[in-house]
Amino acid sequence: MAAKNRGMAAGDGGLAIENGGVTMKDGGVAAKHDRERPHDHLAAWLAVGRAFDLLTVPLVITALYFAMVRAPEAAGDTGGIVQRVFYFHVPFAMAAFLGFGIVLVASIGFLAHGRRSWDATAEAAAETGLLCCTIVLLTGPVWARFAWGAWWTWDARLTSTLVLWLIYAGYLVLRAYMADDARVRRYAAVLGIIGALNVPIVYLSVRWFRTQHPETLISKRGGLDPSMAVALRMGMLAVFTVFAALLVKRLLLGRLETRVAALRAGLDARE
Amino acid sequence: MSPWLRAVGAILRKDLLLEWRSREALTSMAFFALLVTVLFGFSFDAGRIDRDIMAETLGPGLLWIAFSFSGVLGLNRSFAIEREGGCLQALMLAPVNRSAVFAGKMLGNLLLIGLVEVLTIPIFSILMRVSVLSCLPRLALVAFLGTLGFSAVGTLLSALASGSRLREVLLPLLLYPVWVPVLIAATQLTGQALGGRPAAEGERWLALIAAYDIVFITAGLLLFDHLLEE
Amino acid sequence: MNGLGYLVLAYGFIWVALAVYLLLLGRRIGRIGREVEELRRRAEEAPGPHSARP
Repeated sequence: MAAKNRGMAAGDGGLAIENGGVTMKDGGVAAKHDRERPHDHLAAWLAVGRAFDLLTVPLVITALYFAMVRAPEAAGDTGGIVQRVFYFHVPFAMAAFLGFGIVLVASIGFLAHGRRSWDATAEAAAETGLLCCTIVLLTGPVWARFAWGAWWTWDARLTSTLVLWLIYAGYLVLRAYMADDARVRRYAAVLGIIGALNVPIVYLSVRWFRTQHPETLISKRGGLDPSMAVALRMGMLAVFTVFAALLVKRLLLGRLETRVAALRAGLDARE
Repeated sequence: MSPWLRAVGAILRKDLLLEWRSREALTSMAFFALLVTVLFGFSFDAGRIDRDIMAETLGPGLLWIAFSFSGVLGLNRSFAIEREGGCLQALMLAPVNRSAVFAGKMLGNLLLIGLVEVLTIPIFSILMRVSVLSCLPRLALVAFLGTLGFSAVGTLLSALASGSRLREVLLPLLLYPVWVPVLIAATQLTGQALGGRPAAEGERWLALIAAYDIVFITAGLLLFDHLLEE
Repeated sequence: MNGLGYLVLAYGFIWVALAVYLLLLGRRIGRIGREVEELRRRAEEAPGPHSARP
């Protein structure tokens, strides 16, 4: 029952972590504790994770094809070949928002119902959301360097993304530096709500503060060439699937950790 | 007077009395703000900076950085003293709504940080050669609204951070990112005031700070309960 | 650096970030696997009063 991490080649967008090996279905120590075992639907989650894994590779390849080949070269000062990063840059920004949105909903859910799974969802979504946010912050400056001649321009959207990154990095720092107990879960939920409440205010303030982004490319639907819109939609489909695959993996990991900790406690008590 | 207001008043009075007897927080915060100002003066060679630039961009930035840095000292103390000697348990046992504890603590922090600002602004004015007398009402309004938001978020987060083992470090890490919108708005408004520009320019920034204050005071009143149950 | 170089750099960042995160997840999964092994050994070596398992 060894944990195997085969097929970790992420370069091609393949997200297959073979974590079947760590399921406790066949685990010897699990048998006695079956009655006390939490209803965590591990097998179902594992199947969902596998499905997303299988979907990611073709979807990412298709999205790359649309972004690199099918979409026409964009014009204007933010155009040129580097604009082709747009078809992944923007979906990752949306996925980051989705992740932080899940953090808000799960945090409220946890404070309202106190169920552990809400908290685990919030933590997993914060981590995957922060990963997407990091990708936005890595690709944005590359595009900016080409389009505006500087890696960082204090442009409105990049700057507010940076602030978001800082807020949710702080959220994960709080979780990392406190023991995983009932208290930190409540604290994290409060912080998850405060952070999300702040997002619209950050966006407004930074937009008034400064704006330089290619607005026409994003805000005006008519401004976006139809084949560009298709490529963007393909990118969104691929990135959202990658996001979902990662989120499910992270959730599964959290559940496994919880269950192993429970088993350890049970074994310690018996000895 | 409603029991809720009486509870708020009692907690506020307790904090102010405690501070009045020791004056520890006030002294350390004001001294720290002075140090930030002096260090800023040296590091940016303040004597050679154009006066308009100082009044409109560098000065407001310095002022709000000094307020933010010294404010965190006060906030950290605000709950550290409660954790000593089981005061927090006593507060939790008190038959009052927890939101009253938040409101009392927040007002105490507001007064304390406000007092530090009152002491810092004249020193800033002299050292940085920026005249503040002509725009004092505008400056006071910005300082009040900004500090109100700072105290609201700060009180909530300091209760949160004080429960962890690296509380002094954790608070600024959590607070400053959330504080960014008001920092932007407050420095813009302060720059407009010190630069003598028309007040109408800053109306939307004032609205933004007011909205922030309302959102986070409400959030504090509603969420504080979850931070105190042990 | 020309446009193509920047494009390669940007996409490179995406895959590297994903790879690093997957690596971190993989390490945590590996740690759990080892922990499960250890727990199972303990359960087999020191059978408690209730471990009447085949």
